[in-house]
Amino acid sequence: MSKLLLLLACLIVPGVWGLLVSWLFMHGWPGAWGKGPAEEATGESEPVPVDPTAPPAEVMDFQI
Amino acid sequence: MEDPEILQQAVDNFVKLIPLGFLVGGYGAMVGAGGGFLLVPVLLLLLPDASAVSLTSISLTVVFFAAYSGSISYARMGRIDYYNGLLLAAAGVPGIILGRMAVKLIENRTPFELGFGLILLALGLYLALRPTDDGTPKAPYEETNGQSGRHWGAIGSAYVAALSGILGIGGGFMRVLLMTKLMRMTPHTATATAVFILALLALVGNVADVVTGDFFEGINTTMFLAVGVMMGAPVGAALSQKIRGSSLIRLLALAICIVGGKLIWNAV
Repeated sequence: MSKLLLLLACLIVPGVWGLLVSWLFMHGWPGAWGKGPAEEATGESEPVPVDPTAPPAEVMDFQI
Repeated sequence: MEDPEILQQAVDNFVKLIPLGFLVGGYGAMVGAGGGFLLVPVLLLLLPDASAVSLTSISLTVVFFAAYSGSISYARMGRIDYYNGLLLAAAGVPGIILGRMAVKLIENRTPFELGFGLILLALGLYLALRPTDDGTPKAPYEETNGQSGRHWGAIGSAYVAALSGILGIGGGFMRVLLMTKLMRMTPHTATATAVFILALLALVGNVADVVTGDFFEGINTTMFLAVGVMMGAPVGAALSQKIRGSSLIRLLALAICIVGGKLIWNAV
């Protein structure tokens, strides 16, 4: 009987607990702490944002 | 004056255990595992008279030091996903306890070990042959790592913990699979996060061992191995930066095949 109960516990408890913990993390995690890792270094620099309305001379200065 | 036998034993330990720890720590940190699956078979050869409790305690403590050292290196690289790491670690706690309780009630582990060993071997071979899903680039992490992936990841981590408790393995490599396949994390982030999770879970296990007194069995061996893994883990973490994601998955596949082979070996 105890074996059967333990087997049932092994089958049910992890799933319910996993769902509960993920729900708690999603709703109780402080937003200021952020989610996800820092961006991985790719070795490539980000493209420089360019304002399409700016005159060509300013764009060049900005990119330089 | 020191007893020459004690001195000789210390030199022997230094020569054998520190390089062994270095290799275990380096490889474990690279693939996101603790390295217990490599360490225990070697310890069985080196310490044939040691009890199972002593070997488990040595392995768990060494895994903690490897994961601790690897976590510091990965934290410096900014590769650890703390949110998902803490989520998967918290999800695993009751599973470990239930798994350890269940293992005492399982009288015949042979079919269980054989079946799971075969599954792991097949999985390892599949991953070695196809380290990525289809060769197409994945969508960015933030776009794909939605709530559903996190739910399934947490549930999966809970079952992995129960299974690893029953089988007596750390389960780091299974969490890497969960994170890459279900949560769509990159292999580099997944391996680093798995090392972080292992550090937390192994610490819990070590505290339990200190309380029960098992921690102090084989402390000499543990300390030499701990020095080795703490030197090896940062090297493994640094090497993994230079390895492509698909190569990391192939290294992980090798670890999975080793664990699968070991379980089949135990069963037959």
